[in-house]
Amino acid sequence: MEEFKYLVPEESIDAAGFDGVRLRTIEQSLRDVFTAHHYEELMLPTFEYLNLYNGLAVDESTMFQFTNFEGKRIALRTDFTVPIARLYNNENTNAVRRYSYFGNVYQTQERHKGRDSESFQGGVELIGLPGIKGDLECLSLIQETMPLLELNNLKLELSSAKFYRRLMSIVGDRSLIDIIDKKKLSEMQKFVARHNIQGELKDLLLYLPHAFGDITILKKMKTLACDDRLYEAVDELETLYDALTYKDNIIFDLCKVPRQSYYTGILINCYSYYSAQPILSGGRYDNLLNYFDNNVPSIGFVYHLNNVMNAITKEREAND
Amino acid sequence: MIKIAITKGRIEKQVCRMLEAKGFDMAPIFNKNRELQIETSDGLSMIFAKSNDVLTFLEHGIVDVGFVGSDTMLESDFDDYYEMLDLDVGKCYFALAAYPEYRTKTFNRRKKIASKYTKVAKNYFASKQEDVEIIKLEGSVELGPVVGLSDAIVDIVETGSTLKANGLEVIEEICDISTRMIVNRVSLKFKKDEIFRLINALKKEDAENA
Repeated sequence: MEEFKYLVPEESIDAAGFDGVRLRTIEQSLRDVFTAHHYEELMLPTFEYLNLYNGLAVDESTMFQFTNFEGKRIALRTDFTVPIARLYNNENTNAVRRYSYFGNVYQTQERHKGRDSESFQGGVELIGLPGIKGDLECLSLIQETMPLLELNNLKLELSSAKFYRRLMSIVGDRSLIDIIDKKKLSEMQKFVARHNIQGELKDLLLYLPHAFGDITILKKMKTLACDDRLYEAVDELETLYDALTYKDNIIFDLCKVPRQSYYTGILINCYSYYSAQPILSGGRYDNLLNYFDNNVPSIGFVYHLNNVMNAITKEREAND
Repeated sequence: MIKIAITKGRIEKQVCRMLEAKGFDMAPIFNKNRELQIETSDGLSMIFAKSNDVLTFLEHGIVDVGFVGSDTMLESDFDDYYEMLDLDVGKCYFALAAYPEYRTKTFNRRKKIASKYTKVAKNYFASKQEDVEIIKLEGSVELGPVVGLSDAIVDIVETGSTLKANGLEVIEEICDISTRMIVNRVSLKFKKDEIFRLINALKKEDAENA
């Protein structure tokens, strides 16, 4: 038999591994909540100019790309946030807009690593609503939709891009990025010694790789924040926490590097005990619209539904 | 219960000895025969694997914690984990090595470099802004210059005695290598206390108590 009759390309996801009915049921229950909160569902193009993403530090080598009839480079979309920002910008408005979306995104992965190049996402963007008001609306929406996933052991994590960026500007050495990102305890000690950092900043840096966990971490970090803007960033997280009605599974991580260059405020991740990758990610991006020469504060989040589906399968297996 | 993957052989022995010194019950490990998975009375579930596979198990969330040499980490394309501790054991270094003439010889062509660690070799020469041809050898890389396949090698150097026995010498040290404790990003969020119990047992005594 010829190969194509039984093989799929390595890039493809395993169609048989997914319970399609369950996926669509979860999708529909998320859609119902998004719609009830007046989020307008968008259908977005699969093909984009590669340059749309290029200016935003998306690694070009991870995009599926080809050349179109104009001789321009086209890529399969790698996310929904950037195309939605473009769409909003074309409206020439500063009004508040609520958008939702469901669909696949495409990004190549290392070979033989068991990661999907094609992944199914569902999420929202809340554009034009600044500060804590927008943050709270998004977090409430997450807390309302998380129980729809049929997963029990979940943690919702809040971090701060503002804290990270302020710390980087105080320290001013880019080698700190990797130390923070990988929580390198040993390396941080060497870093502090090598730069002869003393006093409050030394205490803060040495503690940083431990700076994650429940609400007590914020109290601790407030005593260590040696700068008004660092303190403010931690205080913002605490204010948000206080305003949330449901606090049980909330955790924090202040030793965190934002995954996207356009994140400015809170960063949101949701973890399942049964998934090695987050099942939800998002955050505030008040500068992304600047990229389109329009200054509008925004926030959004996305469910990584492949990871959700895999976690559901594993959690059920574990509980059987 | 924390699940741990340890690189078989020397790293396994070093890490288990360090844990034993801190009062962990390591007898089941020292007395094992050919079992690949063992549980200790301290709630550690350990598997023993080849170095690259330690990264693979960690990446897939099969284990929470891995012990592996930084040489393996540098050569791997996967780095989506927390690298919490440098255990300061298993120390050696990557080096460029060749016959002494290499230093002064003028090459009117691309140099040929043999290595098992092609990514490390490539990054090293990229940092020198030098274009070279890299040839992959799986073992006894010193053979490269000896049989005339390559002009130099990039390899791990411990004592340097193999190099010396073959008339080769270190041209330049590239970077230090040691054993690291790495942690799955999601595991750390769910098992912070258990994992820190392990970290606190393994981190250096004189280290600052943050």
